[in-house]
Amino acid sequence: MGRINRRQVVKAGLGVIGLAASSKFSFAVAQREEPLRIGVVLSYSGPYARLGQEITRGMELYLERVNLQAGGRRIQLLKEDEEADPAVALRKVRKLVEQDRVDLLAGIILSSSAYAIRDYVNEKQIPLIIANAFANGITRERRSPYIFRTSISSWQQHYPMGAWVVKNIGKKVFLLALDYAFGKEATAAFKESFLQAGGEVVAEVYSPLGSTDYSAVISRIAAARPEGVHAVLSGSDAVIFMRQFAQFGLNRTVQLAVSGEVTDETVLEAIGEAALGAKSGNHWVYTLNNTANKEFIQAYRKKYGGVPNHFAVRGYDAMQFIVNAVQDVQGDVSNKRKLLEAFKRAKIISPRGFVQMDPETNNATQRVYAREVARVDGLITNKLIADLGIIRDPGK
Amino acid sequence: MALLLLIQLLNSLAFGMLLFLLALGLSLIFGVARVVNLAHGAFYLLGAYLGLALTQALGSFWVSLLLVPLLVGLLGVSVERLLLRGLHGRELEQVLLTIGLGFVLADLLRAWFGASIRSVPPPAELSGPLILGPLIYPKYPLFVLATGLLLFLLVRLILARTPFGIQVRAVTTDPAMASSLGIRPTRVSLATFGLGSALAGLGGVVGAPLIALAPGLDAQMTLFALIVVVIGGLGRIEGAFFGALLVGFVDGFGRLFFPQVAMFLIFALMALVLALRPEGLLGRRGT
Amino acid sequence: MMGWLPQVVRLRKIHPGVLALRASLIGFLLLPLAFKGYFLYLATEAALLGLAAVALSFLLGHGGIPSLGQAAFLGLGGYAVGLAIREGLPLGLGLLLAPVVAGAYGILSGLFVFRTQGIFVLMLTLAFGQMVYSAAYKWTSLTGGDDGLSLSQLSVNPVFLHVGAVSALAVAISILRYLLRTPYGKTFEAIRQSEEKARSLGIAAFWHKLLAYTVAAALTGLAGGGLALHRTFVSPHDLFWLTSVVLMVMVLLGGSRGLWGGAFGAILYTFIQAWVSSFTELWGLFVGLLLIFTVLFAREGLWPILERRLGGGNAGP
Repeated sequence: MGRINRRQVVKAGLGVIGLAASSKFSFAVAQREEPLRIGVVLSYSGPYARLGQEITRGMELYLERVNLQAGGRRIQLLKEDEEADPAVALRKVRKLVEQDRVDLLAGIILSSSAYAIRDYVNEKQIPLIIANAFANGITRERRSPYIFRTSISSWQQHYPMGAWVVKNIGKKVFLLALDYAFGKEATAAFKESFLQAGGEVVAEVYSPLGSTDYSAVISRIAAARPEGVHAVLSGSDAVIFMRQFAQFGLNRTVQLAVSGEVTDETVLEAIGEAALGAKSGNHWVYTLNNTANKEFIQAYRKKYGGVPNHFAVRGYDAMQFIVNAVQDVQGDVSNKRKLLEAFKRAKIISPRGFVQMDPETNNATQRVYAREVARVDGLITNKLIADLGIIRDPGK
Repeated sequence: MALLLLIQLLNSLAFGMLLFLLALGLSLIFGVARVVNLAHGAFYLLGAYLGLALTQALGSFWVSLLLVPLLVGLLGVSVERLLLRGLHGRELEQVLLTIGLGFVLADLLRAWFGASIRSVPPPAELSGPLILGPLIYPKYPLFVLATGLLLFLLVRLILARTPFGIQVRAVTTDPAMASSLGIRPTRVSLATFGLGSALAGLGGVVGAPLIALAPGLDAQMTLFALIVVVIGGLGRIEGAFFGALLVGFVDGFGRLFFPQVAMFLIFALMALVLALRPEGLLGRRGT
Repeated sequence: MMGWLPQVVRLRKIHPGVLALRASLIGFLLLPLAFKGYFLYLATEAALLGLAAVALSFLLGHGGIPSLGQAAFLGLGGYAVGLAIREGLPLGLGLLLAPVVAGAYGILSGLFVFRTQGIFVLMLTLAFGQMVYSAAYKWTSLTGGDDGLSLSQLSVNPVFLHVGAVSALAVAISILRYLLRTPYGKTFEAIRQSEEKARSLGIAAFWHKLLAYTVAAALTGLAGGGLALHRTFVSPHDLFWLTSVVLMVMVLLGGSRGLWGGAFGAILYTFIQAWVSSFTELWGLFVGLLLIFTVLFAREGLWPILERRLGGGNAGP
């Protein structure tokens, strides 16, 4: 309910400021006194509601660090719910751009939503910072000078695991993924290196996003007796799958070597011990030993309690990229060319390690890690087991 | 392969029994009150969320299993009395009212419990797998199966032997005749609405550990219940039972072997039955 | 536009107050052209949904056919346009295909639907609607499935689209009202009032209903095609039966008889929904309450009340 109050305050402020902002003549001085409006489009309902909440937390955590200021301007977040429907995302983006007149867009959880809004954002020339959506194409064949991804691509996060799984888990793997852009691209990336390293795919199954029951797939897994399962699920699908996997007792007989999205701390929170020992590939691990990570974990736990997760990290980093770029142009976002350049050159020290924007693809180049669910400091979270190197998305 | 089929059979039966709990209520309500209650799925969702909240608050799944149907049944009774009574005889408007009610209920639940998908753990006693030789199968779906069967036998008994049951059957078959025999259709209608809603609520509590809670689940469950009742036959409990099993099978095996067309097949089956035998496969002519 | 001719001739029979009211509805829809932006976007949406609502009002208010499957026609029209554009066909052809495809499904499903009556019609249209939804959702190779179909490569001038939508709405209303004044239309209404009586007079109720259903389907399909262009996106979620319920809410809210009510309901709903959803996510609550309120207290809908106020008593369809 607090969210609604905040939005009402924002709307009230908007009403006053909106009049001034809609003026075509925005002098730099006048502009600096106006808040910087960032349209945040995330899932606040449906299978990814929790993700939206966590990414928002990360964003707000970082904004607190900089006192909601960047380049001399106050930052305001206008939040809209993309649900889990690309048509809705497009509608909300339209509203933010045309009615609320935001300066920047940030967020987007669903890969298909990213694809759906790409042309509109490109045409309207509004910078979009993708804080989550893994869609490969957004920084490949459908890239735009206005779209930057600070999270990671499907290929980056899942390709390195293929070879690692063959070496450390086994050769016969069952593939399960969500039936839309994210699931399909991630599985294809995993398969690429997995097959190259000599792996064998026992079966490949896709299930609809927002499924409420995974018993059919799990019975297939039980019958197939693979050495490992590579699941590409997220949000509620991950929770339900993992829970039922444990209910069937399969967590004791089949190894899980899954996408980092499946063993994310929000899932572990719901599943608990049943997930211990599950391996995954991800760009952030709780036990990463760097200052930025320690600070982030401390700040998160102080403000929100609970265990931080990679969604909060993504929100945190996205905001850091934005704040740095806005600082770079001294708050003057009307000069699009300079702003875009600032984004292209961006590098940040993230809880994930060193992350750098690739000027050719507008995608973040970063490290990917192999990790395992374990008890750390009395919490159920992931611990680092291998560094899979710096991974740069090839862009093609 | 045989193992896979067996496991999927059990999955389908469990889901089928859950559908039965839901469809039974809908069928009874239609048979007696002549109302197609499209808020039924919302009652299910209410039961599920209430079950979740009460189990957490009271620490016992079994207590909430008893309490929740009572609460939801009470709501059903009030709805019938306050909202639907005035629209007696106007079928379309009653249906539309229930649709509106369903929306209201679903959104209130969403406001109260949040919009994320909740996976509910089964109670500790029913958690984890049962191991019978080569077969490893979770305990909870078996519980759902048993509950469905138990309720089928129980309700059958009630309808056949108790005075209330006989009144229900009388009003279902011929309301005019029933009232001329001294049975008050409005009274029976009220009680049946309560019973039907209570069953939906029970379905919710039982179903939550099986199928995760999500906004939008109410619309899905309403649809499923409707399909079962249409296929099995309105107003007959055997119809609801066998219809539920059929839909459970088609859904379960469909998702396994023909995931692309399973959904389509179910609706096509519904359409076919409605068009060619509108009283349902086990129904009687003359609603 | 031929439909206007008999209308003009009968102008004298319509109370000037009512005429002014109807003109102002059209006027309201044309107003956003001066403002552009998001207001225009909403108005186009209202006009297109209005077209679908008017078609439903024709079925429900005048034919007594409670269809909860209109979303399917909307979707078929949308996908027809979307797929036509994806295959490189000219836009005009796509817009022609939309009503044709929807109308064809209308005939096909109608053959089954009208074997039954009353509440079964409602359930059967629901089932047929869901069949299209599941096909759109699962047939990913054709429709893109959950990812949807994007039409962003085609940029249609929003002003053209809006004028086109409002014109289509106005033309549809006049054509349908004309149809209702013909012998066919009168028979259609008679069937609604008492099907038994009509049959006893030798009327083939089945074919009358099927024709109306197909016409309504085609108009809804056209609306769907327009919506695809307007939103530049087609998603299977839009075909779920909730959309059919929303259309029904529009018709009930505005008024199921007279056809203008449907358009009014669509405008009312679209703008209120946009306003409500800007400060709360609970718009389902709002729709539900609206529906309950309408069913219990405003069964005729709001437009007839307005027409009566301004028309001084007798403002018939």
